[in-house]
Amino acid sequence: MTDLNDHDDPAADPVAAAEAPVELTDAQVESWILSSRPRRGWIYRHRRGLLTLMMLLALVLVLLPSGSDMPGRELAGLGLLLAAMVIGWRLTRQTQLTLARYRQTLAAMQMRQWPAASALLGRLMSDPIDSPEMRSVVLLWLAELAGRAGRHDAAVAALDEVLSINTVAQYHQSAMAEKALALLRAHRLTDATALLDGLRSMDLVEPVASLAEVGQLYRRIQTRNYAAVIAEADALAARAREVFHPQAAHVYALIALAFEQVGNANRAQAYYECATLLMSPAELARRFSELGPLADRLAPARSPL
Amino acid sequence: MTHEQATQLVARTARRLRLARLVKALLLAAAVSAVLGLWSAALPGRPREADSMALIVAVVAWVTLSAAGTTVGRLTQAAAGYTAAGRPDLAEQALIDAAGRFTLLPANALLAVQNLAALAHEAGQYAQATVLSRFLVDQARRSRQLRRAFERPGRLLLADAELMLGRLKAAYEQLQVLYDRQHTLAEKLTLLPVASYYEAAVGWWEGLAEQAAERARLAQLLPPAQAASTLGCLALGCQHTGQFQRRDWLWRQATLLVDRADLVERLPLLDGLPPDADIRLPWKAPSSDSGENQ
Repeated sequence: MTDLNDHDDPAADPVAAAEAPVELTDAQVESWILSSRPRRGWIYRHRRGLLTLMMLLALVLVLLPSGSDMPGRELAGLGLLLAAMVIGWRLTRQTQLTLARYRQTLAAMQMRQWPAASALLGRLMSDPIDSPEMRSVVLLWLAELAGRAGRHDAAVAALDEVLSINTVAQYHQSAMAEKALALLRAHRLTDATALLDGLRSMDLVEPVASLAEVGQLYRRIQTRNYAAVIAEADALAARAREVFHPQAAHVYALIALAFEQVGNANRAQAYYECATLLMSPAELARRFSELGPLADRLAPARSPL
Repeated sequence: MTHEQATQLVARTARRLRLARLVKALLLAAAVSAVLGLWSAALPGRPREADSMALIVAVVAWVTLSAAGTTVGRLTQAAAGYTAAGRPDLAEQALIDAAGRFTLLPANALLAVQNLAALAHEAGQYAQATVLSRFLVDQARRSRQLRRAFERPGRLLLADAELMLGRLKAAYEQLQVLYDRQHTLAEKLTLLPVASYYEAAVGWWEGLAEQAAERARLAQLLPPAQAASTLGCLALGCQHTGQFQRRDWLWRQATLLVDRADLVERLPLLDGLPPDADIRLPWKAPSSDSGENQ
């Protein structure tokens, strides 16, 4: 079984892996979405009842009086019992396997080991995931990896799948906010604007509320509405620090871009330094391509270590 | 979860695990005996129906009780989902429910306890975390499979919780076992903040300063609170060895991630770093520092 430890090559640099690109195609994303859909068959949905029925039937076959005219009934009963054991064992094993794969993928995502995370996610999503909560989280991960691979339309597809699951409202809200960002990256401004306006009217909880604000920020950057960015820059930066921690680097960098564009070099540099204290310019640009040229115009923070 | 609730939960779980071991042994013995009876031709007068019934009862009991283990797994899955959704209260409830259920599979119950210990630790309930993780370490020693899955995470959690409670000797007892072993990346990262704080607590400044570059790089992969505390400990090491530029760089990163006050509250040693080394957050800069149009 693919394991995060399989990727623990002593010579590999885990910090470099945290900035590595992800290789993922649209076809892979679509395939993983389909293969991870929960089983809907009647037999699977009523598996526990059917197992109980099998065992009861086995009991009846064995308990039938010896004079009964049913040759091989004991064997049939024991056979049924064996089948029930095997099926029960397989179901338990499947649940344990899914949980183990989920934990490994979670660890890889948390440590930002993107190549390993992509491989582990593929294994996890190769089988049906019955838990709606777990599947929602897994699809959000898939959207994140698709975004890193530059497959923004595929990311939108994964997020649409989350929205189709009957699950906790927070997952839907997260998916909507991430979808707005993915639409902006795919330059689908009209769709993104409609979604962001819809999010404005909803009662959002953190971190989704802040994520929606990041979506607004990015939309204003794309439409060159720098004045609006600057007007709310300080409040959003403070909020991003509390909510996103190291990922707030993206917010700081976008704000730096806005200040730089209006000619406020000092403020731009201060924000850019905060951004690059947490993340390299290359990693910032991978998430928001507009930040790429900023590294040539502002000085990133330099480590003395 | 209170300390008393944690103590009661581990006592209950320990009893259930002992019972599960006994039940497994009995079921196995009954099944083996029944199979031998069915196949034996040398026992005249032994009713075959009794052996068949014994086998069926043993198997039905095993399958039913194993199904309960599936429920424990599902509750733990749901708890993982609640945690990801930022609902630790629901996650805790699901895990307490999971840990309280009877299961033939000890790994399922221990996983629930491990997740509960992590939640307690995250919530700053260190006394409860020590109770739960000590139980985990004790149970993990029972088999190789359990040891592989639960001993290291249990010891790490226990070491950190003991450190937070100021019990350095107890923390070192756990760290000593971990230092002597090979580590995966995940284990190395989890050990990093705990080891760094322990080394700061005992004043091993040269070691911290020497490893500052490598540890600071790895700290980038940690969650923010752990990253900030690691960077803070490394900054202390650089301060005590006269490397002030490095100190400032590390501490600025740390205070950019987490407020100084929160860091010092969690790790009082970090109060030894000068306030003027803290990051100057741009949104808190004085209004005269707007610096428009050079």
